[in-house]
Amino acid sequence: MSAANQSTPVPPENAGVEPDIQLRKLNRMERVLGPEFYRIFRGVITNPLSIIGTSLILFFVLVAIFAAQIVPPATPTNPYSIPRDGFGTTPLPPGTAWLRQAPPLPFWWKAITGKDKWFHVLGTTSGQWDIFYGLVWGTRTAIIVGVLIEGLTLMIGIIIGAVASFYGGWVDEILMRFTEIFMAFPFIMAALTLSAILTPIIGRGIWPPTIALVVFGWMSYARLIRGDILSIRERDFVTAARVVGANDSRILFSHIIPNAIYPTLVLASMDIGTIVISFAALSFLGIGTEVGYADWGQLISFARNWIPTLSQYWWIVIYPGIALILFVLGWNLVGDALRDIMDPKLRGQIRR
Amino acid sequence: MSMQTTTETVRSPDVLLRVEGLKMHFPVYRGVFRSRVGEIKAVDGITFDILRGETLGLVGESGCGKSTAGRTILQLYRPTAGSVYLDGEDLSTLHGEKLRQHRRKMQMIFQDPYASLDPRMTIGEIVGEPLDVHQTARGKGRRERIAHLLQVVGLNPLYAGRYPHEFSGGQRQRVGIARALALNPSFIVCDEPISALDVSIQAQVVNLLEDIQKEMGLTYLFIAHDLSMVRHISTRVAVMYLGKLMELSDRSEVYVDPLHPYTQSLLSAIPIPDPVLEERRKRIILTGDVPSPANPPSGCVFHTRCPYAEAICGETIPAWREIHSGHWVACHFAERFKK
Ligand SMILES: Nc1ncnc2c1ncn2[C@@H]1O[C@H](COP(=O)(O)OP(=O)(O)OP(=O)(O)O)[C@@H](O)[C@H]1O
Ligand code: SF4
Ligand SMILES: [Mg+2]
Repeated sequence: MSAANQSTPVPPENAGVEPDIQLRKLNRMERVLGPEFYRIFRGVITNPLSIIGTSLILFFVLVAIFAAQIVPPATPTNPYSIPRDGFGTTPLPPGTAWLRQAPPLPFWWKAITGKDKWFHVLGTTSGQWDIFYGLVWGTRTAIIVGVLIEGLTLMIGIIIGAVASFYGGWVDEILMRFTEIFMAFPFIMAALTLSAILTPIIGRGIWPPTIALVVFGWMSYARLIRGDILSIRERDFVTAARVVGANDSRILFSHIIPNAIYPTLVLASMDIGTIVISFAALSFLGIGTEVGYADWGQLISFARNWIPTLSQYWWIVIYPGIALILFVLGWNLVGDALRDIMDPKLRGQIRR
Repeated sequence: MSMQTTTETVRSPDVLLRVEGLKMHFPVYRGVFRSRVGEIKAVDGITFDILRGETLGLVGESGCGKSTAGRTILQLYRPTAGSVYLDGEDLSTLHGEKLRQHRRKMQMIFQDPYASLDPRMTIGEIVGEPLDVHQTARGKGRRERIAHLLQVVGLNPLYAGRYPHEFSGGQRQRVGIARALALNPSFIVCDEPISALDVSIQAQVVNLLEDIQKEMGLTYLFIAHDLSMVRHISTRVAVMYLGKLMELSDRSEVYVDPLHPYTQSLLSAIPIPDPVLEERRKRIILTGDVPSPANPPSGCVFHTRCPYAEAICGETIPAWREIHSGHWVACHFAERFKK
């Protein structure tokens, strides 16, 4: 008997083979990406709303990458500082000639405008900061800030949620109470206060609002991933991995997290837009980056004193506003599409 | 005939697995301070042997602790009390790496073929995971072993790169079986492996399990929720109720001459194809619900539903005794029910 145990089994003759189904052919993409990823990928590139969203995001990414080609930096050492055409308070309308501190001419300038001097493409805002320059370089800020804050928030959320759910018991209890405490703060107020406190300590720049938004932004990820890990942890395939002798880290990293992470990633993609809005809101309130830093929120904030006469000086809010709205819209459309693709109720219709 | 052979084995027992007084109580916590307010006695002191090469059917209503028993035997839950000896070694005293090494010898097949395969792994990766974890095969050897295992369970090895969702329930169950076989185990807990499958597929999977058992000399603990399911495959049958064993005996005796009122009631629920027998037999129809395992009845746990219960049944726990060779029962009055 024990000898039989050692030998490799031989296919039994009467294995009761089910009629051999012909499986659908897989294309190369599907094989490389795996089923879930391929499904998401296909969903994203076929859903019309997410095509719009992806195109918007792609557009902003390209602007951010080629910012220096679109508008060469005015001061090469500090490209994020928006050049100002004098110090007058009254905004200049689009098309006004750029007299002082104009950046070098970009390669496309003559071909498209037919002029051989800079003018203020989208006008200037109060203080003579050039709006076009601010928007182009502000795209970089938006993407860097969005990705940076989102990445840090997600990391903290995932670590706290994973530790809480994996260890359970009082660890879970303490971490979740801690999370609830943070959720009790009104988000923008808390972030505003913290970033106001941090600014004199670490100086103006993108860091005070970044830290503040991260500190008060991770909770929803922690809770979401915790819930998903708790439910995945009880699934039979996790027990099956333990049965074959897999250790804790293998179970966590190759079975639990890969199965639990998608909803959290979807939420994160939807939140990038919101994060950039919050960052802009802090800038608008005068907290965060130094005055004149290329940042959409700050551009809008220059319009503060002109609110009663905005119908006359419309360009100072319309252009930065459009940039911000399209950016947020892009991420939301993609996030919505991802959520629909991931929705287990809709899933049955996609797959058997 | 089977009577003859099993009495043989009982007389010269070659015990593979010995379970002694096994208990698994799940604590119940309540409130902010997570104080322990009680426990669910999912498995409450069970004792039996499984002989090498046999199939022990474990039967009982939903919630009586069958799965918990199987999982505690495999040390997926650490037992509250009692021991599990596999090949003479007490698994309940092993920890960490040592226990992990022993997992090669004992495997499990799950009830739900959809939940038991990681949807993000190909079936090749799933079947190969035991090999990776124990580093028994690498590279070409690993691929060949996976292909071989898939063949053994009647799947085309060309499908190793496919994901579970592309397969039917029966085929997924075969993948689960291939995974269980990967390490050449000697003992497999089959936790209702066919309950979730279409009736037409059930027989195929049972046949496959039997064929593999013969080929590899496997020993099964085969869990099912009614007696008709294990009739075909089992060598012996154990009946469980509220965390305790009620009766254990050779298959032929359990179905023909059950000595425990609970076993009799389970048999009453199975229709007999023969109208004469069907007419003659005495039916016991159970009334009432299964009591909660958090608060099991005193004395004989079955006394709240037993038609033969007497005063002593509510007071004294009936002993788990071998009423005659190879026939174990836990009832004060088992002798009365003998034919
Ligand atoms: N991990 C656990 N924690 C707490 N209670 C549990 C746990 N697992 C099982 N139980 C409880 O133990 C009892 C026995 O459950 P178990 O799953 O072993 O029953 P079963 O006989 O396998 O039932 P089924 O036929 O439904 O599979 C049930 O009351 C169940 O609620
Ligand atoms: S001990 Fe009493 S209550 Fe329990 S099964 Fe036997 S007769 Fe019924
Ligand atoms: Mg069960």
